[in-house]
Amino acid sequence: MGKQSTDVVVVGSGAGGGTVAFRLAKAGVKVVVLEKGRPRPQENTPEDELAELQLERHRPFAEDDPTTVYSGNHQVASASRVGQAFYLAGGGTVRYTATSWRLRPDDFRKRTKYGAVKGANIIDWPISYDELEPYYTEAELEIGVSGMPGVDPTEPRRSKNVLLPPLKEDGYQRILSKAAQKLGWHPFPIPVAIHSQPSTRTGAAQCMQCGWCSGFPCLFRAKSSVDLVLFPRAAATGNFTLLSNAYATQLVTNAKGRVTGVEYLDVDTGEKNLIEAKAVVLAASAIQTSRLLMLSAKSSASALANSSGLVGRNMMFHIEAKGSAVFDEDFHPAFYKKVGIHDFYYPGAKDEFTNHRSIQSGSKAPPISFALSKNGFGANFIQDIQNSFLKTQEIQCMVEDLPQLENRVVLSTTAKDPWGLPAPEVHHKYHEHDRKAAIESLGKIRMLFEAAGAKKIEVPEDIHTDITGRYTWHLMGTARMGNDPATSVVNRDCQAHDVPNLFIADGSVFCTSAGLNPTLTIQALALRTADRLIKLSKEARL
Amino acid sequence: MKKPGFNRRTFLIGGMATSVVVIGLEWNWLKSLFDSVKPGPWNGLPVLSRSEWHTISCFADTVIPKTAGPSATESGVLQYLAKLFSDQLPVRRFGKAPVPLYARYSTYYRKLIARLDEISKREFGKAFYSLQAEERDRVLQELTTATHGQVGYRIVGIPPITEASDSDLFSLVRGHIVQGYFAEPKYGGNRDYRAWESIRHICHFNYPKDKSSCPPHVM
Repeated sequence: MGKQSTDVVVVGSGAGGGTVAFRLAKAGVKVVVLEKGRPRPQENTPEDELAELQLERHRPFAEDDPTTVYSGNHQVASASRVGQAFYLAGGGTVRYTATSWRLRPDDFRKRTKYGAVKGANIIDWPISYDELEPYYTEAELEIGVSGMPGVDPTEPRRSKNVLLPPLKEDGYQRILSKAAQKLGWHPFPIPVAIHSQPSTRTGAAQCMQCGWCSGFPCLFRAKSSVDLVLFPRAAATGNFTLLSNAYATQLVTNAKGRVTGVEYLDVDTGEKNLIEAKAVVLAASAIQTSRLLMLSAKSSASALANSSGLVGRNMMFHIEAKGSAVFDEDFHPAFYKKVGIHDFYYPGAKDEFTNHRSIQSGSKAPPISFALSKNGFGANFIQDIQNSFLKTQEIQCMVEDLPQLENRVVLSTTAKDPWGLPAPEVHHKYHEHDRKAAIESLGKIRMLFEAAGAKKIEVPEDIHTDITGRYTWHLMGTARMGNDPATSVVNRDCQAHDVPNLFIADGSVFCTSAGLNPTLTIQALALRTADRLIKLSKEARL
Repeated sequence: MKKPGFNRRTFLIGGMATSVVVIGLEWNWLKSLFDSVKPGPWNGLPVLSRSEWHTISCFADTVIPKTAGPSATESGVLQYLAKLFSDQLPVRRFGKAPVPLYARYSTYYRKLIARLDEISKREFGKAFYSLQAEERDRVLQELTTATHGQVGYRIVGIPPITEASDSDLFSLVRGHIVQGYFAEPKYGGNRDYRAWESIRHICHFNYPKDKSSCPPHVM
């Protein structure tokens, strides 16, 4: 077994892991990042839908590294890609839509605002928006976010505007904005981590508005994926090492209950290695982080750092309520989010739900995905595609998934990863409020399409019965933060209550999921967690 | 006096000659298909027999018949499937030697073919590839009473072969046909970009012809 040591090991190189490692390296802390994927290919290959979206050349098929999924007691998938984060240096940020929201102050105090909801496990976060605000600002500055302050009716306070100008408006944006205004709503350009102008700070180039954002690495290096905008600057310090093809399999602990290192496998050779460290940060996504804690359990304990019994519990996704419509106009590919509408972010007095939600213009599907979204065969099938491909657009609503104790991750007793380790098993069922909020949102989507003059509107009446139907890669919960060790896994600094030198820097720590894409919040929390680690390091308390 | 031209001997010779021709045709047919593919870990085996390939080609053209755009086979979808079976597509290996794609999919293709022939023989007394276009439509309609799901962007993996329903089989192979039809020509299908042209997807970076009608950023 190979062996090395460092100050801090970070497991996972995505939004959280990449950001925490960046901050630590800049502060002089030696950090090694373990990433089971590979760096993205350096060649500038034009976007290739088959390779990126269909075959998913950067990660294995579901059957080769499975997650089993249950809805209640019913198994809906014996092998799925649910929670299978992107096997790339930079993680999901390489391929995300780059939507970069700040949560709203009320997202942090949901229990106070709505009280207890039967069947849900809603709590307030242990930190407020105001405490996280400086880190949101810093995250926006360090990664580069384009947007327009002052136009989102629910926008929270900004201590400083560091946003780059919004991206150029396009045809669909104009049509949708006009339709929303006709309805008395207040549309605005969605903040995205895509550079509207080049940045000397991040090193990113200007967006060319090619539209190939969602699901694709940026051809022009304008999207703020952490491998582009943070890793080069972290590497320049000499304190940052990225180990790719390194699959973390277990945390090693000592008799004092501290973590001493991480065992990992080289995914190509199968060679086992150990890296020792003064502290460990888990940022492998809410499913894999909790799985790693379970794989690291001592004897009969169900997971490491689990005196609360909450590791793996309160798993949250978002519900993506979605519709499409055919217009008279042609729309050339533009696969990123453009228009946001938050007039209904908070439930109204008559709504029978407590979920927050964000209406967002969708990402247009490229040809294969578009064709496969249609049922059927024969001349009607292909002629429908021929007639509607360029004229179709989408609207979606990101609906908050309420936390529930029984929505959880456990280790599968049947499915295994390629090395024989138990695969994750996800149990998830929608709360009654989730479904009501999603159905109400579908009605809003239909109204917007009608106001926009769309011709063939396809909006479902209901949502899919389980998470595999409209899956989002937003993985949250499973190691929630809190002040009380009996009711949370990590403290307000994202430090495990039970293991003082173990930290978590991904969506696992979220107490509620809000109605907004989570990446910028993960990054803001990661910067805050890094500050805590730096302080401990300076005080020689790591 | 013997009848000229036809006796047991000529029958046998004729039969042998026919067999040689059929075998030759079969070989040429498969050779032309697989000549477009580099040798790979499929060990030179065509995975499916000629008649199985024939059934799949008929199935492909029933899913995507010729319209304003090319049919599936005109577009080169079989060449895409050959690449799929020859394990030459960009897929990620993770861990200990995952099963190659050809071995993974061939059983599902065979099960689909068996179901197509079973329905065809029951309804029309002939194999699927012997049916007229309208009859093939009717077979597929019977096969696909349920919704098809979306195999292309696969959140959920393929069910084990023993559990695969008609709808799963249809969805899997239809997914591959659509992939081949609309993928870039380097993968075998979308010959001369005609599938993209049929949906006016002509502003992609790799589209090599006239882009004068495209927005400035893709010129």
